[in-house]
Amino acid sequence: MVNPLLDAFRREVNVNLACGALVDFDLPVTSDHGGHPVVVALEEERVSALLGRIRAVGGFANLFVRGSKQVRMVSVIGDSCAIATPDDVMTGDDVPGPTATVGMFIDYVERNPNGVAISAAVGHPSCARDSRVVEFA
Amino acid sequence: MRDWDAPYDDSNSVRLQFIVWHRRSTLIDFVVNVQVLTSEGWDTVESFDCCHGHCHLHPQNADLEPRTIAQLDTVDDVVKAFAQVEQEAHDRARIIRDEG
Repeated sequence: MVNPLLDAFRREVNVNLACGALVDFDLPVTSDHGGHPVVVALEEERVSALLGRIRAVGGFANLFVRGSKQVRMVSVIGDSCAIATPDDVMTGDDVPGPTATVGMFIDYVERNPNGVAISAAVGHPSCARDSRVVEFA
Repeated sequence: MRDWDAPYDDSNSVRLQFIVWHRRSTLIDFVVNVQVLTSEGWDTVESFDCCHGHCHLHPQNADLEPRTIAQLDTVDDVVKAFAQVEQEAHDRARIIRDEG
């Protein structure tokens, strides 16, 4: 499904990485093929859509999420690359369910500083971690 | 130099590939490729670059001459050219995606 807001946000990220506020921002996640996949999402989207998007780029991604007040960046990296074992494997009582939004999922990642394992969703050992707010121009 | 790939659909079948160069945090050169996934991997169907003092488009048909988008005399010209290229590359990727 085409979402004009998502298209607009994708363009905003690309311009900021090339010649905007993110010029000096290091993209921390590298794919198996050596590239830097940049995945975008909106907080109001279903988390299932986001997980499918991450799966489609190979399970590793530099993820940018647009909310109503801020943009957050999350690293989705291999479990073996994680400095510490992920805090959660999406089995806790307050784990976002299948109808949760991307915003709820990123909030959950923020509550687990060592990351949240999403291996089952993206097809290989992987975790989401290091949520941070990024400023756009 | 930095590079990144921006998927244009949820199945990652169309993407833009960006390769950019900065000097003191200012954009001085770039390549933008419009790519589609094929059975043999990623195929670049259109490519934008800044060789020979001009920003230009290399169209999918190799028989066609590159099309000049902007002349590059100053660093500011590179930033302005990137804005034009980002728009054109976005339109192209969106059309390919929406045709699919």
